[in-house]
Amino acid sequence: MLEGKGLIKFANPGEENIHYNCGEFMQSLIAFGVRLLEGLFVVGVVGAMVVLVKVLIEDLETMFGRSADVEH
Amino acid sequence: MSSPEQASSPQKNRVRIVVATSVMLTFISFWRAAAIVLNDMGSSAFYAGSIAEQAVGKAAPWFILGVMLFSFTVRAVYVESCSMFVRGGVYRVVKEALGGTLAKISVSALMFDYVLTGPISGVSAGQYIAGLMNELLLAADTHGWIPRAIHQLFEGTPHLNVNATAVVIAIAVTLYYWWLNLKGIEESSEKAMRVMEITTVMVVLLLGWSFLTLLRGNYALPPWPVPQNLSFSRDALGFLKNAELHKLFGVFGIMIAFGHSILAMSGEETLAQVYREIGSPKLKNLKKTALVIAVYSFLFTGISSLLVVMLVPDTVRMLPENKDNLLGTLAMYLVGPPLLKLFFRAFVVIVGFLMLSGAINTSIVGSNGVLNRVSEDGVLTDWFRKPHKRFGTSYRILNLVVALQLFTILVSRGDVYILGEAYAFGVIWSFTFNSFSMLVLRFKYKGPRHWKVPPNLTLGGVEIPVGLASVFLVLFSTAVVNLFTKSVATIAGVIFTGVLFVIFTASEHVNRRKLQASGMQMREHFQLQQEDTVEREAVGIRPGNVLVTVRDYNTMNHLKWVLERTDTKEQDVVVLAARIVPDPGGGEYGLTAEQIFSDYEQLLFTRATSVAESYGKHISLLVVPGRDVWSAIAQTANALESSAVVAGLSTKMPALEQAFRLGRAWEAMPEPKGQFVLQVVRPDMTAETFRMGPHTPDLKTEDIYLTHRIWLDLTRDPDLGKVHHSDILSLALTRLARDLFGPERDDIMKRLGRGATDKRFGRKLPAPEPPPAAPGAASESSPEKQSKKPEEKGPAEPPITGPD
Repeated sequence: MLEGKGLIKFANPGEENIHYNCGEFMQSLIAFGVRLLEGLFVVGVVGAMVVLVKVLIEDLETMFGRSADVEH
Repeated sequence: MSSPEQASSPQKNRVRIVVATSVMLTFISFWRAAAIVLNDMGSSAFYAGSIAEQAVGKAAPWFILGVMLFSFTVRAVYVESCSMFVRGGVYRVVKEALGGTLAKISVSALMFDYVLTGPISGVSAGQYIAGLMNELLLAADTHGWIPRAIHQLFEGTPHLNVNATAVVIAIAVTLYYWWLNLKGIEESSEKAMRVMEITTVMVVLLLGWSFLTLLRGNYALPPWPVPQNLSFSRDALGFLKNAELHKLFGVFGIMIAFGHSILAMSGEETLAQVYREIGSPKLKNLKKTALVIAVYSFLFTGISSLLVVMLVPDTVRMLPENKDNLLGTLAMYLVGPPLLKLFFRAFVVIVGFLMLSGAINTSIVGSNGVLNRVSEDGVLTDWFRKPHKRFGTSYRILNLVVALQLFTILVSRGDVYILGEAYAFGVIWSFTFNSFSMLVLRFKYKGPRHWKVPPNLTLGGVEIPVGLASVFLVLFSTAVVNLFTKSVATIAGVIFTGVLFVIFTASEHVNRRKLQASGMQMREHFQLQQEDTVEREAVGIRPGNVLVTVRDYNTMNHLKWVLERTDTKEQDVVVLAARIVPDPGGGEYGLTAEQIFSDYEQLLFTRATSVAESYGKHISLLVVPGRDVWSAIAQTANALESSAVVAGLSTKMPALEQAFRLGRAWEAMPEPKGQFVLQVVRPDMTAETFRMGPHTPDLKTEDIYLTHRIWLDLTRDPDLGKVHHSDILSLALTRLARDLFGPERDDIMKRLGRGATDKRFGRKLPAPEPPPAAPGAASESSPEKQSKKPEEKGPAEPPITGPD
């Protein structure tokens, strides 16, 4: 997935573009971490869209007096 | 309700103190609640778009719009938390769900948010003003109005250094609000409403005019928010600036951009703080408030950010002199004559200044409130809450907060971008803590709730909070990404939060030991009786009692004045200490009786008790928490059926002003409400008396003569022979009430204002007109409306608190 050069490149002050090869384990760990965050974010966004639609519908009903404060 | 343990074990020689735990509130409509929240939240429209674009490029407005849509769901989390905890807020929710340690961390993050709100708002306001001044100087130079000498001095068009000016303005405004808070200003939802009314006019004009400009067709939509359209600045990638992870992982780039736009929804916490103030039906009104805020912020912050990128050319938008006052720059790129656009820009800047400076005040009030509450919870020592000698405010906390804000302003050197980057840390982490705590509480407390974030699925009898979990996942993943991409925020936020957490923990440790010692001492002298609300029976007093308000243990003259004149066998005397809790946005949390009755109240009542003992008379002691001192006094006097309220003369205002404020609080109380008098005792032991509620006014001699002269004049007409003096007054009042709603209102108000300070007011009235209606017209008149202004009094009336 992340073949080739080291994934992480840190620049020390005054020494630009010094590359540190973090090793395969570190690379795969970072890749996993990033993918996990991406997955959480995407799942969250999809769920949040559903929340948004449901809340908007309910809010509009509240605004125009058609809804009571009921438990979901 | 009485605590059985406390109520059942009264001991001799111990003074019983009734501590009411429900705050005396004045409830507000959902419109006012929305105005309070929007004053804080709407201010981010002036800088969020610019900060996001500098970080992620031209696609930024889409992310701002995305954040504004997402804020609908964060609001839903706050609605659920408010439905569980009326006295909500991050601290309370996290403490309930995750315990004291994480609550201290979350409140530290919230403090970071509050402390940075001031500098970012102040510097942004300064940027807008400096931008306008430079535009005006340019316009003046174009017309040749700048003297040649000045022109030569600046080697061209004179201009202000935008960042330096912003620093000076930010410091000046912060110091101004520090002084006001030190004196103890009174916040009102009325003020918030006025600011929002003006802002709404500006927003409508800005959006309407921008859409008219769009009709010319000379615009381009920002590039779509897809990974290939993102161009991050090096600063925007923080610790990952050399890693290029965003290029390897597409969605990761979107997350970074979303994280840089999250500060657009700062100010949500205020919704939780304002909930207690909202009138019935509370939850329904809270939802309405949330909807109003969401729609308004979406239109103002979201759409205006989009319009800026569509209408202001790229080459102009990111110029150093324009990038931090984009709404002002947008005004100059609308269709229309240049002078009109310049006027509109000035209007935008004035509105921006009002909102942003209001946000500085909110940040000071909010920080003060949060630290006060944390202190009351035993997390900070009482040293922080020591009241100012003259003003009675918690000056040490105020000084600390403002010193931190001034330091931040100076360190930022007027750079809004740096401030915005750091600001996002507090915003995202306080939301994340809040949503995670609410998620935990779904499993921890399974009892019924008034409302839950939808949707919720039930699988095998277990309810899965899909909606709440989704919101948490977005917040959490964004917060983690921000840790890596916002290096300034991470370093500053972690240091600030860490230092504050250590202070809280160490202080709590010291406080616990101190409280154990003083708690034992207090239990020996006082017996606390906790009550939810104030009731006469609970305090054990008779109707017609005298309520004496105390605040400063050094000024007990008015209590002595009352005790000298009152036979306490015939009339009870109640000494009241109103414990003020913060304004909306000030971090209000539930207080226990011991927290309300703190060391200070202990000292205050020890002094009051010793004064009463020196007279050999009995007094009852009462502590009530209240949002507003006048409202707390008026509501307590009403609940206790007091005949008189006695107060010392304030160091901040004259007796008349004290009476006016109490009168206003009396007017705001719901029915049923009884009448009572306010007696203000001066240090020389003379008193002024004012009546609260509708009462027969004290007519001046010249007014009685004037009425009589009119009556004489009228009764010369045989048809008007049955007219009485009261008919004349009824008619005069009816006409006044009618004119007050007509074009003469301003004139009447001016005359009444002058009359309040001019003893000759009555004599200046024009000659009366003959009445146009029959005497019976008086019966059609509206009931006499009591003027809110307390009447002026001549020499002090004899004391009426009891037989001498």
